[in-house]
Amino acid sequence: MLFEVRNLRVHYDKVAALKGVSITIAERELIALLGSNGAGKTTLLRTISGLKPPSSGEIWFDGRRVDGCPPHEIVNLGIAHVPEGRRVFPYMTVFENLKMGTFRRKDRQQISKDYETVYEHFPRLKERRAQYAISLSGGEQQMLATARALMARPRLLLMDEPSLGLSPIMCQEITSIMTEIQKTLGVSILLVEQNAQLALELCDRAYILKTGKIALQGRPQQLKNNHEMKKAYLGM
Amino acid sequence: MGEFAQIVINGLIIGLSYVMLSLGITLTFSIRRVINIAHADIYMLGGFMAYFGSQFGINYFLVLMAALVVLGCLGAVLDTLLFRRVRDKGPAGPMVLSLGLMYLIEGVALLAFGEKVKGVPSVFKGVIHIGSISFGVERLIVMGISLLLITGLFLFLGRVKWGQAMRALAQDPEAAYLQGIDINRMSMLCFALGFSLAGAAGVLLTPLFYVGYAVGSTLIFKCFMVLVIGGLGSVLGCLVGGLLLGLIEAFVVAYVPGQLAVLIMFALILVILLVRPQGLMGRGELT
Amino acid sequence: MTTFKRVSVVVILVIFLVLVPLLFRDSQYVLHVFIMCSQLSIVSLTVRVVFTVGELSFGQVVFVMAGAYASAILSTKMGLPFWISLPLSGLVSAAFATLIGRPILRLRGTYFSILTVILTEVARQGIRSLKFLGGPQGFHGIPRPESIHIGKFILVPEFNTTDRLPYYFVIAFLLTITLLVLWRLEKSPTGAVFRATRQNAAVAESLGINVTRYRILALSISAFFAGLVGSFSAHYITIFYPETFSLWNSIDYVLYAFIGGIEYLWGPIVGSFALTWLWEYLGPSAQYRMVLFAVLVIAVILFFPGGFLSLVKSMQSLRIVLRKVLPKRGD
Repeated sequence: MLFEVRNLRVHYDKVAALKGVSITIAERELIALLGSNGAGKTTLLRTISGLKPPSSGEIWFDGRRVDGCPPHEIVNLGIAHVPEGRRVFPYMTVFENLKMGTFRRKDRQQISKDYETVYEHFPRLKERRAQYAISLSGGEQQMLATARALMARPRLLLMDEPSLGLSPIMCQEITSIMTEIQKTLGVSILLVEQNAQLALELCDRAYILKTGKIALQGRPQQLKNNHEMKKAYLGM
Repeated sequence: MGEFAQIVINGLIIGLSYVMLSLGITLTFSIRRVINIAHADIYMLGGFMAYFGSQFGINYFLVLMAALVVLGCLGAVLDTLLFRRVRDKGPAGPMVLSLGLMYLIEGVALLAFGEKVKGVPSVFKGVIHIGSISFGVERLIVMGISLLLITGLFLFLGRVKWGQAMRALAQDPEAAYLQGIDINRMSMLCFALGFSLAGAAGVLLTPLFYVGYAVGSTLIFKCFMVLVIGGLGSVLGCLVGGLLLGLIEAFVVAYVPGQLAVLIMFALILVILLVRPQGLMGRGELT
Repeated sequence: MTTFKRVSVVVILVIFLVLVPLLFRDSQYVLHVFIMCSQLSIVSLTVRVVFTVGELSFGQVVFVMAGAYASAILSTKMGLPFWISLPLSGLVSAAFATLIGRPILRLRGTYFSILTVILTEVARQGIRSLKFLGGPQGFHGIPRPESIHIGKFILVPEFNTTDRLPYYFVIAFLLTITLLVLWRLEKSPTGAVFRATRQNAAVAESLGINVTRYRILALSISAFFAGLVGSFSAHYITIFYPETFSLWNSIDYVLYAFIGGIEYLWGPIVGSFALTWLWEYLGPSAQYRMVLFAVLVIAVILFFPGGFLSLVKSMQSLRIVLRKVLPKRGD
């Protein structure tokens, strides 16, 4: 098992955002994390990437315990996080943004090759590589944020609502990119999505989070057939 | 014509020193969101290093190097010991800390160097003549070194990974963390660079003017003006603001009598603040 | 208010209005220090008022200056008695704040703070160059407060050059009034609005609160009391010039407020008194004074970032915890 969260509890001051969450992610798996706003999805991602320390529980990655590690160490270990809202560096060029993704890497030759690979998969970024990130469209910024995370050569990619604010066409692009990442690059993905339809199409398994706890989990087919789930959580 | 050029050179020299000082403040502000009021006192420390260097006959460039290194380390140390601790503690913790630090450094300086202001003899004597204009060699060298250092910093921020990481950190701290950028290391580096520059400015300019324990207090105000003109988080703004301030000062002082000069300066600042409060280039990030 | 609070307030009042005068009536030095402390306290309190709406003002000295100049002009050039020019100066200062408030409060946060720093120097230099306001020489020969008597009954005694006691009572009185007013202000709806704008100005705006107007109000209130201090100071020292109102004074006001504990009403007072007395106490070792003072400030901000009063608070909490944990007597 590549990645595992065991009974994670996270508090903001006295308020519990996660009340004992456990999930697993295997190699090359795309796991979806669904749920309404405020359920705790983003919190889980932020705790995994080290931005927020957990109150209790364990996070295991590649046989090592990583809960409580600071963000820069988490990146070192092979987990990259594409945060909610893209969060590209606005006054830095596309290239500089990508370069930041390689911050912790030391293998220069491979890094140069990786730029090429990224430009192949994201031709639009190659076009705009000398432009300030702030001048990119929403979709392009999403690609940039994703590419930036990929430049860190992660084994696990955390993606927080990549489809937010994107046109249907861009959503398609992002979806196909995610599939590529999973299948071709062999990177596992933990995908947080509001857009349940989209997520269920893509994922191998899904977890449904409700007010800080896992309410349901299973394969997309199972979940789609679950009426209760359809109504309450997916709005279908 | 000669006089004009003279004024321009003077303005540029002062301006460049303002730039060097203010760059440090801009850097630390971008990363730790604190206006380090004690920053100008580092200039003073550099100045005293120059003073002692001249007293003991130590080579000028050696003193400069020493200032860069020693004061840089001081910056890293102070960040680790002090500024890192007050990061999350209230809105003005860092501000009060820097105030305390200012008193501390000035107090120590007062103890160590006494109340009197000290001058340092010029190291480079001589004058260069170009046509009808004459320039003191010392001034030219100071200008040259200042430009070198400033250019160095800009190159660092623009081309070198760690410098770019600093900019990233200033623009979006959390996103930067997620790329593996460690704020504590960056902050140390930031302070080190800022202090180095301030100290270097002290070494370079003290022979041209003077140094005393309270020099920092006067200078910090000029730095604020640079920040206002140029914009708080912008290093380019620093450059523009510092040079502009230096030049304006030089011209105003040369052609306008005493009181009026000061008033004009302030009127200008006020206008800028009210019309474009974020400064000429300010955007709140390190740009 | 809890009984503890009521009792402690009364105790403090008794100490300052009765004990201190009794014990120190002959020590002009002690009285002088107390007077300075009280002045500083009031202005530090005004820093807190502005902080209540979320801004850090390093420029309160400008309002002190406005009050001083106003009072000086009113008494020397217009012959008004101190007791009238005092409140008027406060109003002048407040009016001034209202005037400049709108443009300067367009800036927020750090920008605003830097602006206030620059403002102090601008004001000082500006006043310096105005001849009719005394120019670089400032004012001298400002009359002392007059005595008030009804027939033979003396309400307010003569103020002369030798005895500071009457001055002490005046400033103690002013401090008490300031405290009272600010205390009521905090409990009032206006105070609540202030706190709301500090917490989240955007939300406040969306609720229909005119945030700018309230900020200007806070600034004006702070200016009023600062102006009172200015006026008092003018008639206490009877001379001043532009340099009296320096930027460093202004920064000190903020320092005292924070060291005492800016979140507490009494914080600025505690800070002002503690630090001023410390400074005086360290007087003999004048050379080391600055360093020791600085070390203390740094220590406080590192270990008690909430100021002295936060330490008191945590001791109180400790007491509550201990009470619960330790067995009661008689068990």
